[in-house]
Amino acid sequence: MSGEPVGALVTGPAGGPTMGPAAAAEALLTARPANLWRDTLANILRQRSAIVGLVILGFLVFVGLFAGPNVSTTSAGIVDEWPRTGSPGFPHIATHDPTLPLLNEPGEEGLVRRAPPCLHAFGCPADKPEHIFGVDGNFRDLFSRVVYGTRVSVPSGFGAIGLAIIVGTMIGAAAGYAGGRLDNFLMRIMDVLLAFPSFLLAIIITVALGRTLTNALIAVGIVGVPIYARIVRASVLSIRENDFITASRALGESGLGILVRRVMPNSLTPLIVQGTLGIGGAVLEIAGLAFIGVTGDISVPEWGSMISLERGQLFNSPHVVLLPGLAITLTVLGFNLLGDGLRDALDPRLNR
Amino acid sequence: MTRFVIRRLLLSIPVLFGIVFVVFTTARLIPGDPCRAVLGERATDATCDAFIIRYGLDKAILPGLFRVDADLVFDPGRIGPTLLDNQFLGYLGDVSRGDLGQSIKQSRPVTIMLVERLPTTIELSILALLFAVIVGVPLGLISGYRRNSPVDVGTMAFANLGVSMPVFVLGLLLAFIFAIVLKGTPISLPPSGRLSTGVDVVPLVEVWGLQALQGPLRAILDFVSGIYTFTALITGQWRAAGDAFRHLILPAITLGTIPLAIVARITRSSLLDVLGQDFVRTARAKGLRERSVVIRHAARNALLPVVTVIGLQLGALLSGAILTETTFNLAGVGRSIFEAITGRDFAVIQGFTLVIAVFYVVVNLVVDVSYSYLDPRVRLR
Repeated sequence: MSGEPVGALVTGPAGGPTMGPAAAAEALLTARPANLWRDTLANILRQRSAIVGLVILGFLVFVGLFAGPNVSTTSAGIVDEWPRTGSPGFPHIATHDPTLPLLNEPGEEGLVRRAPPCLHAFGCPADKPEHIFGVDGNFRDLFSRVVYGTRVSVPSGFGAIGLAIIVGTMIGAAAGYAGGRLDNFLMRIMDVLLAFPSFLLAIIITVALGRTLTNALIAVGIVGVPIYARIVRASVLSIRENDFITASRALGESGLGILVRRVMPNSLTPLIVQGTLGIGGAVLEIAGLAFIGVTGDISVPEWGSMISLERGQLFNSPHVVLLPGLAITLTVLGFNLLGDGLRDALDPRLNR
Repeated sequence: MTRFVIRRLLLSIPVLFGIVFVVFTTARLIPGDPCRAVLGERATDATCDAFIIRYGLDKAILPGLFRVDADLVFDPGRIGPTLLDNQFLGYLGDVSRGDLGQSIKQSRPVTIMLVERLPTTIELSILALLFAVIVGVPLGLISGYRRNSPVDVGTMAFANLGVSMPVFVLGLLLAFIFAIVLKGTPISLPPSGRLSTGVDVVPLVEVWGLQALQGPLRAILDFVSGIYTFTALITGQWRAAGDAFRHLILPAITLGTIPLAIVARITRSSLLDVLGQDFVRTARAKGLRERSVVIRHAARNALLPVVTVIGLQLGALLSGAILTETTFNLAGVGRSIFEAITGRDFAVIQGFTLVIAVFYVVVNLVVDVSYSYLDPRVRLR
């Protein structure tokens, strides 16, 4: 992808309207000095899709951070800091404990299994318990589960792609910089991984590692490795031919030093763009793995397994299936829009 | 051209070998005892020993690597004797003779299962891709030509939504709308299965009175008969054809939406690219009508990258097919592989994935060849 040094990132829409030589000289004298980070940020904020994406993701991060007290199921048991009575002290968006079946709980009289959404402000009879998204098949508050799902899905997307980028960068950098046989060997392995439907491979790896959400995350990460390895290798190959690399070498910098300090920073752009788009894809794949049921523990409020658990109820209680689905869609949409915006902002050649 | 194809096919052999190796070993890393996965937890040790020997599971997996009950054991001392006598080499030998092994769960040859299951997936994928191209290309062309118009903005918003929605959520949403909300109206559609109860597609061998036929030809005919819409159409079973098609609409839209969004986006950006080129200006300067400029000059060139994308999507469809088949209860390849993985049915996992990998390689080759055909500037070397 991008073969220019870092400075080239921001040459896109600069230049502005044409002006006379005198005016241009004047503008040059009074203009603020170019600043890489500020210009890049300005470029990103000029993209409508990037802004929409950032707003969606900001909203999700907010929801995730302030979902409520720590509630999670681990192999050691349930860590649940949501008090049984009264309001949790922690600022909370979720209205109920996402893991607690509410049947026969105080204040929940008249609760039915998979009750549809009920808000008193919107004409729901006042004698029914209030639940924004309704109740799931285990009498748990669906809104709270969807809210807590943000804490599961968004970090797993980051985790999977983080793993893919780290491993992919190491493989791609080694292949591109060493060249020769090592390059050939590593890239043929990547070819094997790519010549394969990624979701299928992710299923096999998850099942082989053991059916847990963490392993699903690792599987999605492994499946993503070849894409990043290829990107990094391509950048390394084009960058290492530049004069400034020759200059560094002449100055006596070591091979590893050149790779880490000179080559890698210049291959960041395509990695950032592909990584952002990749997180959306990873969230989709992890949700898909959960949907077909290879992620184990179904009490974890994960959107995909929430849908999987209730998919037979689509005909009677569509809300238990479709609302978590909307949450996944919103998350992926956020990452995709941001990724598109970043690509347009960071790679001027693709601008349109 | 011929040289290019031969070279590419030869180059794909190591990749296919790698895939067989990866799938073979990963499948055997799946924890648990295959015998008890198939025969149940209460199978006696004696039954299990017989089972293990019957399917050759007592042999080394790779040189020196054994499975003892539920654990994998590596014994360096036994690498020598098992160098040539192991499951992996045995499997490679079988595959080279066209034998994909036996399903330990169904006690049937994997090839027969493929004949049954592959047509469903092929039928679904073709229809999904047709939907993506027939709708996606015109949408992309209009969006590109009328840039920033309401059509363009709407299409791009839809495309963004299309790639962001999980396949299974879209499938369930469509099923909800067309099978429940619209129930009783003429446009309601069935949410699962391939045919309504009471409707059958008579297979080709019966229609043509060839029941006595055996061997590969029979397998091919059975395979084609599995593509219900096609078989029903060519043999004039109109009611069955209509029913099979109605069952396919929702799954095909579900599976085709992501490719549709991608095709529309690529078509749009490619047309924008082409419209800015000199030959388009020349065509306009010659006084050609605008329609002719766009359709005959610009669009034809703009569709080149679209061909590549369609080819790539054909491969990617399989990932979506697993989820689509699960959502709509279709017994296709995706579902079979998933069931085999969870049931430790090694031969089925290997056989089905090998067929898919071969399919991948062939599709990529066809895309590359078609590219040089469509754009004579591209030389195949």
